[in-house]
Amino acid sequence: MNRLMIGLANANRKGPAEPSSIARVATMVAVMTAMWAGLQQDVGHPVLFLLVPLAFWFSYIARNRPGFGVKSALAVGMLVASLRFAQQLAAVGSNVGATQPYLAELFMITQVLHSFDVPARRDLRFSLVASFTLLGMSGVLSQTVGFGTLLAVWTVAAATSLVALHSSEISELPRVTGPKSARPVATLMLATATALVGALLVMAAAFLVLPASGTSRALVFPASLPSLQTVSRDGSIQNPNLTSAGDYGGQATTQSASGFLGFSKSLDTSARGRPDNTIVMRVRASETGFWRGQSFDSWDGQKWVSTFEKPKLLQGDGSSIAVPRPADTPQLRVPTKELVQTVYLQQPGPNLIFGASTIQRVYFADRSVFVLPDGTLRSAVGLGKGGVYTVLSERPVVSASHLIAIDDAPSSGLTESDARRYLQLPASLPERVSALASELRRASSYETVKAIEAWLEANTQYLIDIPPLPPGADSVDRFLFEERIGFCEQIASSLVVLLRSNGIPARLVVGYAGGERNPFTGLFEVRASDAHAWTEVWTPGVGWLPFDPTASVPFAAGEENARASEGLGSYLGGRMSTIIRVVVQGGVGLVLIGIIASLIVGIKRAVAVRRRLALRSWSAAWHDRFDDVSPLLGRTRQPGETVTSYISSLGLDNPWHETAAIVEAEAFSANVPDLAGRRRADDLLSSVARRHHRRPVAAGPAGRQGPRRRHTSALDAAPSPRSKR
Amino acid sequence: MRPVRVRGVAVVTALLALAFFGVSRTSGAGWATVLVAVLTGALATGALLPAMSLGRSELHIETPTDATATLPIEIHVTGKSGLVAEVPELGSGRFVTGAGRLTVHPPKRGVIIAVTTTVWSAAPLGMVEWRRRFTTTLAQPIEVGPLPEPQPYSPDALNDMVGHDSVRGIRDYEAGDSPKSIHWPATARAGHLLVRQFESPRPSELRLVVDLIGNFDADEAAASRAAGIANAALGIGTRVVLATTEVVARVEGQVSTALDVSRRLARAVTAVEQT
Repeated sequence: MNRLMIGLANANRKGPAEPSSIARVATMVAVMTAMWAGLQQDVGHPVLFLLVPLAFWFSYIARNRPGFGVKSALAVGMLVASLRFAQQLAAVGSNVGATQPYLAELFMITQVLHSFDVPARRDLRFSLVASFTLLGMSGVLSQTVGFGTLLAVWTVAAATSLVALHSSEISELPRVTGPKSARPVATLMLATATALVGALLVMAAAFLVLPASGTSRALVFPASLPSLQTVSRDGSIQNPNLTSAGDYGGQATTQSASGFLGFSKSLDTSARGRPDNTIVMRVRASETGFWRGQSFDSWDGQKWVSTFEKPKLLQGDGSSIAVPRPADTPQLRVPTKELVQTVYLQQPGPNLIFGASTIQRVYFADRSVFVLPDGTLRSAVGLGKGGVYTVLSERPVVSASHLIAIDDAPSSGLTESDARRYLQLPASLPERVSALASELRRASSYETVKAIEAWLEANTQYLIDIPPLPPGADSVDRFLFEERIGFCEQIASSLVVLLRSNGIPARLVVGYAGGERNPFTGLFEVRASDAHAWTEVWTPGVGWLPFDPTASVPFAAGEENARASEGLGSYLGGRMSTIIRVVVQGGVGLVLIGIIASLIVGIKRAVAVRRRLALRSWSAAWHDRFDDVSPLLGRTRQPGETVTSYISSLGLDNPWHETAAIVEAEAFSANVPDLAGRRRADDLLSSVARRHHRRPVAAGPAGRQGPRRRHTSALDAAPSPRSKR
Repeated sequence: MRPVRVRGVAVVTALLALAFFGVSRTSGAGWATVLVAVLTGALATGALLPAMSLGRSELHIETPTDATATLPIEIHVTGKSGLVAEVPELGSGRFVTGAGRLTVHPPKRGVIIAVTTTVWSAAPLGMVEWRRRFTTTLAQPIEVGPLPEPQPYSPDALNDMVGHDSVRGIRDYEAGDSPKSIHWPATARAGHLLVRQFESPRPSELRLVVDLIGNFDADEAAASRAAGIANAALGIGTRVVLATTEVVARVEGQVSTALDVSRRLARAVTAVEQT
């Protein structure tokens, strides 16, 4: 017990005060950067951020004082913060997820309190480590590349701090004194730059080989909504980006550049609209996929509609809502894989809850959602910017050979009504469409799909700007036999129609394609232009499988991102102009910072030189000059040898003795020599230097130890009766 | 060359990297992976840069030819700056390298032909400390004499030893004579000051045999005392003959200056060490 107490006492013993101001400032910048990163994620309060410089300043001025009072005050502060945290915990109850911001805030408060007492090197290093943890917490929550700027600032500050601390540590040792004066700031900058370049190279290499961030395995997944305003009481689709949700008789039109006409009650293939590149949502998932929004089952030759019965309301348990398997889902004969997707909404959108494959559970801020027979979900509340929800899906893992080997009837496993629903075709379907379908029929559903895709690939072209559909024309017939150009809606509709013509149940699904993976955030950035239509094909024993005839993307489970840097090339390539702009701006900023830093260092140095000169006594300056010329008199004056004993040993007479008396009177007594005497003493040195045709300042290396001092006259120095050599 | 000390900041960095790797794998957060890469970069830099720095390091040392044990001397060091080094033979303690002068205190008597320098570096981040040792043969050996024992004998005792105070007669007092030399009985009889007249300096000789036995403390004390006696004797003009054992042979010879004494005693070894 006693040893434990001694150990604790030793661990808490106040170390010697750290003298390096650079290390202190750099550590403060690192801590402030971490705090700012936290604020960016809505953690903590701006006051905490503002307290950091105050805390570091206080710690600096109190660094040499006994720390008992400060530590006691900080302990009280921690106690208060902990009690507050306990109250917050009691308020949130069993909702573990809700405790995270409070925990993060407690950590921030701890960091600020600690900043009030960082006198020693060890304390500053601890601050750095703590600030990294805080920064990391913000990084985990961050969804944008903007965090990278903060990380870069923190890295530079932390590297500067570590280098300055190490430099300060070794500066406590005796140093070889040479003719070259050390330039600590320049040395420090060079060392920091070296460390940063080295770290950057290794970091880049590590990033290239590190595995990508894995599947989220949290106890509670993120779910929040900026508001819980009800927009749909019956599960009907509501889309704020469209003028109307496109009733069966009407046609929706977009009123937002990011609006997609497919997120409506119907999908009219005669309508033309091209969503822009606005990021509508970011998805955290271990692998890409089709983010399903809704499906359509009924086709009239121009328009798709859903004829599903009324959506069913699902109630959750407070944190998540279990979604029952769709009625038509078979007892799977293939392995499945769970996929966790957290969707961060960036724009107001339809009340569709997007998710890959078959949704099993959803973490949603509202306690209820609506489910449709096809397994898609709709919220009762509006889904605006800032909304977050997490979807857990089950995805069958199948191979092409498995699909080819299925010899069940195509509709096997579906109820009779569902089979009718998904084989429905308009009575007006042109004969040549059916004929083409027959031509492309193969032994299995899968092979038939592939044959149709191959035909589409060979005979049609993708084009977003296609001519308007003539009134009364069949969209699929027009695409397959007349125009032969179209986009996802025409292409996917054609696949559905050709499959249905072959007796293979299929439906049209709209949602978003996977989006581009941001290699830094690990999030898939889904843009409005990623809005997509594809086909789902009924497969006995497996269920509904997606096929994308437009992009020929793999139909089954996608491959997980093997490395963290996956997509880095294309991501950076697509942003080269932005990167160049940022690099140029950053370069200009660094140059400006360098100029300002140089000015500060220059001014500081000039002030220090001026102060040093002002403090040097006349006799001290005279001694320096004397030491410069003493080799010319016979030998170098030894350390500790007075001028009198020196000139006596050399047998020098007046005026040297008189001069020595003047100089030593000022150096070793309170007698300030008169100006005339000082001038005579100076003149004597100058005359020696002149006799030897050299300036005293240019005396050779035989001078006394220490760097050469620059002065033109010892008279420039102020007399100081108290000065001692 | 090898790493000798992994400092706390490196250990914490490694633990943080592991922790964030776990976070990255379980949270799906991309930035967590970037943070792991940053920590890996810092750790690798902190671990490897000191090694690279030491790998290119060289240290040249120039020493004076003579020194006295424990007294300061200046040596000239040339080498990469910013490393931490120590030359135990010269009693340097840890110092920061560079090009220039360094004051050292050779800790013990002897002739130093080569020095083993230990160089450390944890620069620039102070995470992992590496050490390298190399031996440098000095351009000219440094002979470290013993620190002479101050006043091993009183002047009178020394005079007794070398026979300088035999009284030959008395004479009249002259200005400058020491009051100690006044012969008071004779003065009383004569009525004026008379001083003792010592025997005129005759060739006197002090023969010192320094027999070291291999016990460090005893040998150093003996050498110190011998140096003190010899210097004191030389100070009063006595001929001093020093008998020592050197590595190659037994040496018996006159020493005429304190430097001679220092050098002879620097070279003195035990009989066992003689080859």
